[in-house]
Parts: sequence; C-alpha cells; structure tokens
Amino acid sequence: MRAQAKIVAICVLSGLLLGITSSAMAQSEPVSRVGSKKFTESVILGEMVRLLIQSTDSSATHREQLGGTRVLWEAVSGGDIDIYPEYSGTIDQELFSERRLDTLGALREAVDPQGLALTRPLGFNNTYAMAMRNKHAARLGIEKISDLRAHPDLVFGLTNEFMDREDGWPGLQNAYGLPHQKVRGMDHDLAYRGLESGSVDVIDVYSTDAEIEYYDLATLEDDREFFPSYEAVLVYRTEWAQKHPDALRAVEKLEGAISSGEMSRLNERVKIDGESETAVAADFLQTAFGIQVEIDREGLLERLVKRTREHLFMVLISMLAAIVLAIPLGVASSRWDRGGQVILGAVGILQTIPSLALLVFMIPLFGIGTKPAIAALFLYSLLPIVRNTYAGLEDVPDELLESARALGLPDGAILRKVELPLAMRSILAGIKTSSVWNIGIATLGALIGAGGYGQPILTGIRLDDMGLILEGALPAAGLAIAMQGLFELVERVAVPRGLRLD
Amino acid sequence: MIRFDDVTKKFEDETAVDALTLEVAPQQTTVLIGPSGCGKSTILRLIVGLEQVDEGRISFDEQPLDTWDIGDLRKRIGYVIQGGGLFPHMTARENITLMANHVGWAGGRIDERVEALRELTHLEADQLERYPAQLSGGQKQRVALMRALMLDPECLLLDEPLGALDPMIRARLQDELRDIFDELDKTVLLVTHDMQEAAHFADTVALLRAGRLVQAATVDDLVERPADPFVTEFIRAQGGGPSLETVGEGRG
Repeated sequence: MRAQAKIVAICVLSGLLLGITSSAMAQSEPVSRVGSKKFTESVILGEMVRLLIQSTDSSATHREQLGGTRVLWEAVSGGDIDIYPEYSGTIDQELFSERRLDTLGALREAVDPQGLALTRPLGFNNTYAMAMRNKHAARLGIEKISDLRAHPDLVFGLTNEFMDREDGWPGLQNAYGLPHQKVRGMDHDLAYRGLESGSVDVIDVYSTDAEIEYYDLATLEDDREFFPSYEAVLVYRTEWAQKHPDALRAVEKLEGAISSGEMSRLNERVKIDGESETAVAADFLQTAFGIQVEIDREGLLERLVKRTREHLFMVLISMLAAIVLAIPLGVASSRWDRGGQVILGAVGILQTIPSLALLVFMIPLFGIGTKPAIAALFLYSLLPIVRNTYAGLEDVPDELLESARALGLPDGAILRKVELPLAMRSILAGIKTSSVWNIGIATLGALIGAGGYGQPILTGIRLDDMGLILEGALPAAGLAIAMQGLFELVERVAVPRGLRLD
Repeated sequence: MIRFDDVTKKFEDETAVDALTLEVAPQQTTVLIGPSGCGKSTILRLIVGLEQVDEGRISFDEQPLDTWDIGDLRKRIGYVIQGGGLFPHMTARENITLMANHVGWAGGRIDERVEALRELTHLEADQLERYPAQLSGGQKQRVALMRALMLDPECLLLDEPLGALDPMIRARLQDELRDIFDELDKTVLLVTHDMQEAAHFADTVALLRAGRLVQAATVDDLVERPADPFVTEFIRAQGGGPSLETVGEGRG
C-alpha cells in the first residue's frame, strides 16, 4: 500500500519535471530549416544559407552536422528540413546508384518527382583526389595518377569508405591498372598524420580539404577522368521555394560564387585556425556580397543549459514511456509462459540493432529531430526493465505466493501487495541500468538533429577539439552519475524496509 | 468438518495421495503423520485448493469443494504453511492484518482482534512492529499463526508448524500451541513427522504411508491395536522402546 503511494509520487514528480522541460522546449516553428552534414565544409555552407535567408528578414534555423547522406535526404524529402548543401556526384552515386546521371539536368529530372530541386553549382568541385607529399612526388617525378604505376612499392592509406565504394579504390585500380599491394584502410584524419610521418605514401583526399595546403601536399591529376564530378549544389524543397521566393533568391547568390581555392581556405580557417563556422560564413558573405550579418554568440553557460534541456527531454520522455510499458510487459512475461518468451525475445532483438541504425530506422516514421531519437531511446530502454521485472517476479519464492493464495488474496492483490514490492529492487535496478544507457546513447541523437550533449561531441570530433568533446562528454557523465544517485534515493523510498534489513 | 472420499492425487508418475478416505472431525485436533514423501502436505494443499484432486471428492462443511467459491473457502480456513511463509516486506502487524484490510474490516475491529490474538500467542506488542527478518523462529511461527487466525476461521491447517525450531523452544511451543488449540476449540488438522509431537496434540492420528492411509485412530489404539505391522514399526522407529509409554501418555 505504502510502496504504491510512493511509486505514484515518483511518477507525478517526473511528470512535473517533464512538463517543465517540454514547455521550455516549445518554440515557434521557424520559417526555413537548413540542414548540413557532419563535416566542416557542409556546416560552413549551411551557415551561409542560414545567414542569407535571415538577411531577407525571415527566420531560419540550422540543424548542423546530421549523420550522413541518407539522413539528410530523408529529412529533405520528408519535409523536416527545407534546404541543404549536397554534391552532384553523391546524389548520383549514393541515391540513384542504379542509373548513371551524368549531368545536372538529369539529376534535376530525377529529384523532381520527390518535390525537390537543385540550385546551379556553387562553383567548386569537391571530388576525390589522390595526394602525396609534395617533395616526395617531385622526387619520384609523379604528377598524374597514371605515374603511380611505375612505383608499385608505394604504400596507400585509404579511408574505409573509399576502399569500399565502386567509384573508389576498386574502380580506380581497374581504370589505371595500379599494381599496388600495400593498401591500408584508415581514418581520414589519421591518414594525414600517417602521410606526414611517412608511414603511408599516397592517400585519398577531398579536393577542398584544408589539410592539403597545411601539410604541403600534391594532388595527382586524374588523367583518365575516373572520378565523377562532385559539384556543390543546394538541394531544396520546391514547396518551400514557392512560399519563400525571397529566401530562394538570396541563397541563389551562392551560385558560382565559391571557387575551389576559396572553399579550401574557408575550411582551413575553421579546421586549422579554429574560427567558428558562423564567423567564417559571415565573413565570406560580407566580402563576396557586402552583406552585413549579426552573429549572436552563445556563451558556454547558455549552450550548456540548452543542451542539458534537450538531453534531459529525450532521456526523461523515453524513460518514462519505457517504464510505463516495460513493467506490464515484464509482468505479462512472467504470467504467460510461451508469450513471455516471445516478449523477452522481441525486446532482446531490439537491443541487438546497432544504436545508430535504430536511430536511422526511425527517420522514415518520425522525421528527424527529437521525436525519432525519443522513439529509438524508448525501444532501447525496454529490455533491462522488462527483463528485471520478469526476473524479479520469478525470484519471488513459491512459498510466499502459496501463502498469499492460501490466505484468500485474489491474483491482482497478490501482484500489487506481494509480488511487485518483492520484485521492486530488481525492477529499480533495471530502470537504473536503462537510464544510464539511455543517457549515453542519447548523445547519438545529435546525428539526427535531436541536439543534446552529442552536439559538442560531434563538433569536437570533427574539429579534433578535445575541449568541445569534453563540453559534451563531461555533462553526460555527470548526468549519468546524478541519475545513479537519484535512483539510490528512490531505492531507499521504494524498496520496502523489510527487504533492506539483511 | 472435512471429508475425503476416495481421493487420489498424482504428480506425473508418482501417486502422492492414493484412494484416501478420511473424516476430520469438527472441533478436534487431527494429526497427519508418516514418513517424508507420504503425501501429508499434499492433503492440506488439496483442501485449500492449491492442488486439484484427480479422483474422488473432498467436502468442507458437508459441501463438495468444487462448489465452494475459492475465496470464501480460504477465508474460512486458516493455513500455516511450512516455514510460516511470512511476507518479508511487511511488518508482523502488516502480515497479520493483510487479509482483514483487504476484506475491509474497520480499524477498530482489526486492532481488537490483533490484540486478542497477541495475548493468545504471547507476543510482545513491540514485536508486532518488527519485520520477519528481525524475529526469532518461534516468534515468526506465532505471527504466522496469528495471521492464519485473523479472520477467525472455523478450521486451522498447520504444516510442520514447529519443524524448523530447536528442541528447547520446540518443547515450550508444543505446550503453548496445545493450550491455544484447547482455548480456540477449532477444527485443527496438523501435519508432522514426529510421533511424540503427534501424541502431544492429537485427538485422532492418521498414519500415512506412500499416499495411503494405514490407520486413523487415537494414540492408544495405534499402540495397542495396530491395524498393520507398519504402525508398530513406525512408532518404534520414532520413539524407541521406552518412549512408547510416553507416547501413550501424550495426551493426558
């Protein structure tokens, strides 16, 4: 009886907390929503687009560094964002891989049925290129990719994506007849360092990478024109463009405005000099078009408060929903033998889906942002609670159940007054495990635009900035510890005193 | 009060109760005794509906068991399972008053009843506020007995109520428990494996062997007029020669 009152009190309290968070989260819908991928160039372009739209006095938000082409494509075709920077080769290769769309015109025709349109090229071509140290290439007399054939001992350090893509290493090796055997897969940033230290000789780069100049690299001429062209364009929803012709006109200023050299310098200012994407984008707009924009900078505290709110919102809603569903599921599993195995199996399988994949699966159902993140976290949080509820109920000694039955207590009352209180410690342990996982996995929410502590972590990884990584990782760890502490308090209240005596 | 007509209960291949016919007389103490595995506990479990008979019929108060509402039946029978079966998350008082609260007794009535039972079982008032983990074995048995008696059932079933206690406490509790039975004047059905204990409590002793009733009689009749050599054998194995007299004098 008392334990129940306490559970109710806890639920009410968390509900209240949720109410506060959600009301704080509620914002008016922005007019235009810009997206970008999780690499620096895309974020800079996204900021330019946001600032240009804002210069027409209409409001715009920028969902930065979403996780990958698929996520952005789903978002823009599903109407979660209105516009984002993309590359012609990527649209062709990754989204319409079954047909070869060589010209922008062909691409436009292909995306039109989805209610999408493309701007004209922004001016630079960010294609793949092969790069070597300048001096090394000069010494060996290598200028073109076909010159590599004469040096079969060179060591290649290639990104994993490049190794796998048909338009990457396998195709390149074929097209040029490259005999090289020493080919290692490695992270893009590490490849630069490997090149510098001499442990690899040739790497794949994006032609606008800032590091090319920084490390004094030579990019080899693609003399057989193997690499497709990766012209930067903006993808936007035609519906949005019809509603906001001024905004479209403003962003169209970027058409043909950014040369490869320019883009590479902008990347360098962010990646190497540590300027913010916003400042670099604003600077460019001022120099190129004379557009003055005001940048509102958020202080550390302001950012922290915002991210904590976003993170807590995801964690609390998904946990609360998981608790509400998982405890009855656990009860059902223990009551109902065969069905119970099905339930336990099903929530177990959910757990085996990699978290990133589960997040992406949720996008077609819920779009991008907080909703799919909450749905994925909710599914992830079920297993420990269901399993611990089940285990806690199974561990209730038979003699106590018999004793309760022999007293004449009906089944429902036995569950409420005997079984659940006895299983409470196990159930709480499940909820505790769940919530700590939940807080950790919620950092991935940033990849699909849910914000939270994952946002600075993503940026930090991209810019190799430990400070930024810690800005997300420390509060996330702190939150997990606080949650543990909270549960120890809850345990003191919710686990019956008679069970804490031994 | 409770009648068994040709009752059989099987668990897979094993026959726990084999064609049992027995009458448990009202307001008397009947003891079920026999070697372990002879089906004594199963008989109690059949009465309160924790198990169902395979063949035959059990009647309670002249009415077949399957026509009873199981909840009503259980409220009229107090059952103390082996080991007491107290709920560890409730205080002694919460254990005792659980059912009374559930059926909606008024607070005053509950308090009165608890007080009366507490005097009957010689528990201290402050012991009622303790959790089972804080009580001794003997105290737990008293609490379990109070819980079984709370709704004032007509019939009391006890499964090895003193089984887990050490010999000193056991002897003292035997005396107390007999006084309680005498004072309550209820139909009592008690399971034990100890002949001396059976002699101590019983108006009638029912000796069982492998699910079958061997003999149901007074202790004196068992000693003097055994129906089967097994009866004498069992008594001798339990007490040895000299204690037969003690057994005979058990219920003075």
